[in-house]
Amino acid sequence: MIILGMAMVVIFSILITYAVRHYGFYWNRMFGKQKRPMQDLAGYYLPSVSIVVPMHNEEAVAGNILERLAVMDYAKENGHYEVIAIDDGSTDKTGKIVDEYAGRYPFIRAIHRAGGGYGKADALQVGSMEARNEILLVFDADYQPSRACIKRLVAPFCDPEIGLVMGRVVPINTEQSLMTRLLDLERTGGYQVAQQAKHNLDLASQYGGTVGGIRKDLLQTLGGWDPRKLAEDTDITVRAFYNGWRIGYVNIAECYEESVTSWKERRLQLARWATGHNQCLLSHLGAVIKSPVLSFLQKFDGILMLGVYLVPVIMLIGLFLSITVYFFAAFWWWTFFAALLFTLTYNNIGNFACFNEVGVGAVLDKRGRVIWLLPWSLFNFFANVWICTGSFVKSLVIHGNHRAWDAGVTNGHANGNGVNWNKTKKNGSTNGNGNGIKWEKTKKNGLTNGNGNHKGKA
Amino acid sequence: MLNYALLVLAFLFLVALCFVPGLVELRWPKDQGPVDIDLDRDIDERYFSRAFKAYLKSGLSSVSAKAIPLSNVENSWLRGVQAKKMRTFIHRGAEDILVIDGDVNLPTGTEWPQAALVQGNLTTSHNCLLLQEVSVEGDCLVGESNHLQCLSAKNISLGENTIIDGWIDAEEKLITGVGCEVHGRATAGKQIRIMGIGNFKSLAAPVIEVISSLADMPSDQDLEEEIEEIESEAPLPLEPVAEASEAIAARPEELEEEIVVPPLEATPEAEARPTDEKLEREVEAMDLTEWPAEYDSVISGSFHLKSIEEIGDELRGREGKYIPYRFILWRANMLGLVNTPLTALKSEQKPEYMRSSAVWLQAPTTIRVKGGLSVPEGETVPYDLIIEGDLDSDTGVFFDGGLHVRGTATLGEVNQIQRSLVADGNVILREYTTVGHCVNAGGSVFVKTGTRIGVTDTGGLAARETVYLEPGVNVHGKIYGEHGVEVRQADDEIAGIKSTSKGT
Repeated sequence: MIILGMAMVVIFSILITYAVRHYGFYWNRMFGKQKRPMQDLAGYYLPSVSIVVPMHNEEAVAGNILERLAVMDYAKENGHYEVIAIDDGSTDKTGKIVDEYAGRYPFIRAIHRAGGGYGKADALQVGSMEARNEILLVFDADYQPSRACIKRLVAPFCDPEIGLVMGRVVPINTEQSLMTRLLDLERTGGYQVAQQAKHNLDLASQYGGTVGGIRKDLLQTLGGWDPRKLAEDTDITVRAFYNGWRIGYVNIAECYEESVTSWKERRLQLARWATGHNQCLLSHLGAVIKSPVLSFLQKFDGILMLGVYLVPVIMLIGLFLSITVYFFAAFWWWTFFAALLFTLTYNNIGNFACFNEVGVGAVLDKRGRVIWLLPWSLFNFFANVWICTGSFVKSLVIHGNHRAWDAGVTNGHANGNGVNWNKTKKNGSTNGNGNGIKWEKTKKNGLTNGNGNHKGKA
Repeated sequence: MLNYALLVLAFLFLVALCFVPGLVELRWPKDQGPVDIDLDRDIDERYFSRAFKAYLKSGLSSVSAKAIPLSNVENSWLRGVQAKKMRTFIHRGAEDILVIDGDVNLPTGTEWPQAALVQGNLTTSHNCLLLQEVSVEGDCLVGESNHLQCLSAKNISLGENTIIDGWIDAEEKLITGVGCEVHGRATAGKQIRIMGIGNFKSLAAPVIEVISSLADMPSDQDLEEEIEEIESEAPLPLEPVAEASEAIAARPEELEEEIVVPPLEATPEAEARPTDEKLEREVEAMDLTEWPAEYDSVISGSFHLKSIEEIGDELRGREGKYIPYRFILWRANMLGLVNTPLTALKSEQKPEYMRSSAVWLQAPTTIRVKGGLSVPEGETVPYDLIIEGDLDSDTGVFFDGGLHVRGTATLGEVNQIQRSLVADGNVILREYTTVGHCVNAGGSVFVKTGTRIGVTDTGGLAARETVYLEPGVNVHGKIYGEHGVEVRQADDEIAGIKSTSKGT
């Protein structure tokens, strides 16, 4: 019983720590000094930039993103601005669309990988090797950046300590379903509040794999994108962070995305994120703790950031423990703790950001009425607990397999030595060659239509 | 049993209650659209002026504009000029705009209550009050102690002690007299010249100059030549200023000799390492013709024992050729000597002035220094520096990269920074310092005479507190201070540093 009690205390401590962290972010965003990484001088620092757009069966949206990047407000002469569109083993018309744009604009380059399909990190690695410029930016195909987005994203690179940047992702198809509305809340809390607060506090803002970028020489120094990782964005963020680089978050560099619309797609997406994130936890936790250039607070937050997808697992264990203790020990006060546990956890992971964050984000965006939907994120919460727990188990298996796989790597691609990723079912093309890492596809319907029109409020 | 059932029902009711507002929003949505983003909006410092002129242009093309009979003109200064009123929509809503066809001269003490478009030149005498926006298609000469709301013109000259409450924008040149205040944006398409002292919120133009008096003011001919020179100017490297140390000035000459770099032998380590095309291009641009294999031996043998400067000196001693430090670091990376991204440098690898600090090689061309750093006179710092304390540099230091300083950055006279300077605290740039790109400070920035920031399209100076400028400063791009931009005479500025700066 003492062991059970101690376990409960540990679980409470972890949950309370996360809750305090989120309240800290909320407080900082509301009342703290806000940092705008070099945005006062945005447009006055224009390094050469290569934009990589990895695509795999993206015919619905490929033309839209390339059109947006073609009209971007940036000097495009003399190779100063290039767009590298990678058709990574597509079986639809993506390749044709890419070729069409490459023919129309001299700064767009088409790369076709007939034998591709190994995943985004692998495609990014190819794009990065092809990139000729100082700064490497990445956009997913279903994204729709604003015209000043590139100027705003490259401005922080003026600071030699900034290694990566991240812009703000805004769902465009919020009207489509309850799922898209709940994801809109999650994005609001995550970007408008948590990311900005982390940047303000000099903690690890996270590079999210799109609407962001990295210095090309830093990418090389870090050894490039790791094609073994399902969350190559978190992986590069953490590696840069514990090596002393800062990630600049530019809240004003906004970009529309088309978010997933059904619970099934959400499950696939979240499972991939959680598994990839847990991979990074297992790979980099030691390095974060040992880093000589991080402060105590930075290390502490880095650990919490790495462990964020463990919270649902911990909560589930805590719930089982509290029920067990209640029935077997019959201490009345455990019921109070069980309720507290539930509340804390819900507050922490209901949307992967506590209610305050979402609420403050909505207020800052001048959209107060969306807060009415907050309790509905309870459904997200239950889904998160289930999916993240499954992903945690999966990531443990993968981590073990990686050790075997590392010994068998010959050409930089995942060659299937002991890696078994096929448990994660994908919507995209899975060619079944045993590589395990594939494109995680979710259904897109081309709402990001590239002409700036959307059904949003005026 | 009934009690329990009631309790459960009450509980379920309360649980269900929290979903009701959401249900209302789902059924009768008011906030279902995405966060509004104007996808086509650019970054434009001259936005307000352009937008106002666009309003006027669309209004002028409408048929509702009608002429005002001369007898109805209340202001005597309008007699003799063609004027009409035009009802149009501007940012405040529908409003009567006065459209004047020709030149206007405002006598002393004139009060002009409405927004206007002057299709000629505008000249004002002393103490005039223009309460709304005025757009002038020709040039505008504003007298002393005027008070204006917003003003745009082709060329603008503001008289002494004039106050602008909003924005001011010149298509070409903007000259502000002594003691002027602009509370909004001051922008110009070609140049801003600030005479003597003044207070501003932000300034943006390809060239922003602070001069002490009319006597120092270059002629229009000089200005045209200067702008042409700027437009044709190669971005980098910067020309060392005349007063820079001999070591700095001699560097380009040493680059004249030619060397060629052969590919590395195909070792597994070398193959695994990605090449750096940019550095390769830099080396190619140097017209090098020969790279002796022994250079690699020197780098391999000394990298973990000596500082980059010492390795550079050793290579120079053998062949008498200057090898850029950045290239040595890159070559070390290619040879597999930088095993981990973050490498703690041993004492013998560090320059003398870093010996007492913990130093890491964070990337082939980036160094992180724990604590503060003082750089002695005439040093060349061949990498990007991240300093977790204050920076204090002596005269004639050349930073061949960028700087991030956690504390206060105090640069001595005739310093040169190839890229940008970012500090979390204050920045003090002493006389004749040159910065290649931008300066950004979390505190205030004090800029002494002779300082130059930015080249061609790249430049700018921003501070979260106040920017203090002395006459003789030249900035490309933009100057922004959250608490304002103050132009002071030299003696005042020094007092400012002493009283305001942190850690000095």
